[in-house]
Amino acid sequence: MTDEQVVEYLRSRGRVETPDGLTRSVMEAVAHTSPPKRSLVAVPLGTAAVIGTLLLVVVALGGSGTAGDRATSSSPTLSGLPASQSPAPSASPSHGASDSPTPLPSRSADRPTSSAPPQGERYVAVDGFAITVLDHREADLLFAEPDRCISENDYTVLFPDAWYTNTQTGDVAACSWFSPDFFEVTAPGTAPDAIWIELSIVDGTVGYTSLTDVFYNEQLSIAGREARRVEFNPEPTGDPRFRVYHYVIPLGRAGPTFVAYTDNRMADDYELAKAVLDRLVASLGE
Amino acid sequence: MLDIVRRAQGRDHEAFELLVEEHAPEMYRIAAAIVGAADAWDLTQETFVVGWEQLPRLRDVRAFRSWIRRICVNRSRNWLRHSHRQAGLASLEDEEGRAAERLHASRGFEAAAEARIVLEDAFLRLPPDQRAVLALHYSMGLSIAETAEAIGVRVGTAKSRLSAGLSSLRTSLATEGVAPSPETVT
Repeated sequence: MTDEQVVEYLRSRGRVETPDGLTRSVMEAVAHTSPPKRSLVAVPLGTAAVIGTLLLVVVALGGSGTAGDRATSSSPTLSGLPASQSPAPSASPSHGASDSPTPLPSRSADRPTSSAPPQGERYVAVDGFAITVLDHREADLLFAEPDRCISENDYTVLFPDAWYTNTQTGDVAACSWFSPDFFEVTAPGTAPDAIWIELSIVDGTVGYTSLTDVFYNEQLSIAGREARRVEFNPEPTGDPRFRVYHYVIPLGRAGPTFVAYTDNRMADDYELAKAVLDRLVASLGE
Repeated sequence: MLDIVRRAQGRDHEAFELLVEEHAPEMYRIAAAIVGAADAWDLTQETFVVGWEQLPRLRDVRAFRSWIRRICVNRSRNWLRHSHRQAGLASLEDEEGRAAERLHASRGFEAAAEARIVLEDAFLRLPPDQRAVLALHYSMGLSIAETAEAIGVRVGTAKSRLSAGLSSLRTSLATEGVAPSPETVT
């Protein structure tokens, strides 16, 4: 036995004759399918809304958000009834590596914000998705036939079949972490290094005490709720290259809040992570 | 071809049939290489049914081939995952026949036949992801980059799965008493 025989065996698996009648059989099956599902909500391009000076000074976002404590609401709702008002808004961050991140300096009211995607990027409407998503070929392919993840936190998302997500682990709900690489949860409640995307339900509301480097802001509607898509640098006085891309969906006036998050420290391919996150969030409520 | 894809996106059955004629043989071969010829027909059907349903979502019509290939690979891997329990039952039934074949081969002086049986058993025990990578790269002749794209992983991940799959096959050969070669498969 040689390795050549191993290869020859593997090659032989591809040497099969296509049976007669395959095309006809396929087309007969296609003819019996129902019409394709189309999106119920079409969000046209250009619905971006500038946050401008509307600052929600409630919770300061700090840190990478890839690890640390997670204040997971016990009764969040995204697709169901209006969210419970019971969780009190938190004055401390509930999504981040630190329990008490340093508040960022106040932001100048006339500081410009952006509603246009960063250079080289564009949002496009994709059939079946309720919101626009970043134009990204690889992400499109990843969602050719996505897998579905159902969280006990009352949301369902589609994600790339080739990617990995978590089952419920301690206080972390299923479908909270997503990565193209296999990962294991070694410390309860702590996100593994391998994850690229995190979905979480945080107590209270999420806002921005100061965003000196806002690269993109858009207000949109997701699963019938007001939502915001933002790309920014939460550490404007630190690493100027740090980028955070997240969605914030308030589930109640005082919280809790659904946050879908990635950043260029946790994702090896940040652009792909953003595009996947778009599609993942766009599938909420499908 | 691009125009045909666009027409099919517009729900043109004739155009879609042209795409099926063009790509079904490859999808059939992919499915056969990953799961075996017995189920390749059904998987090819499923692939194009899903393709027909999802086609309006495909924005880059130039990517149709990669896209339909991805669907086929996903379907095949899911088939393996979902049929895992049944495979356990089936393997009991198959075992007698395989044992007879193996006995015949060992007596029958056909080392190649014995090796093939051993490899077949080993291949069927591989995790779906490794089977898919080996099938796409070796059986279908796709490059590592094309294989990675078809599966939806990075090139490095595809390489590591390829290496793990080959290693498993070699280990199985050694376990069965068929000495693996120290040569490296590339």
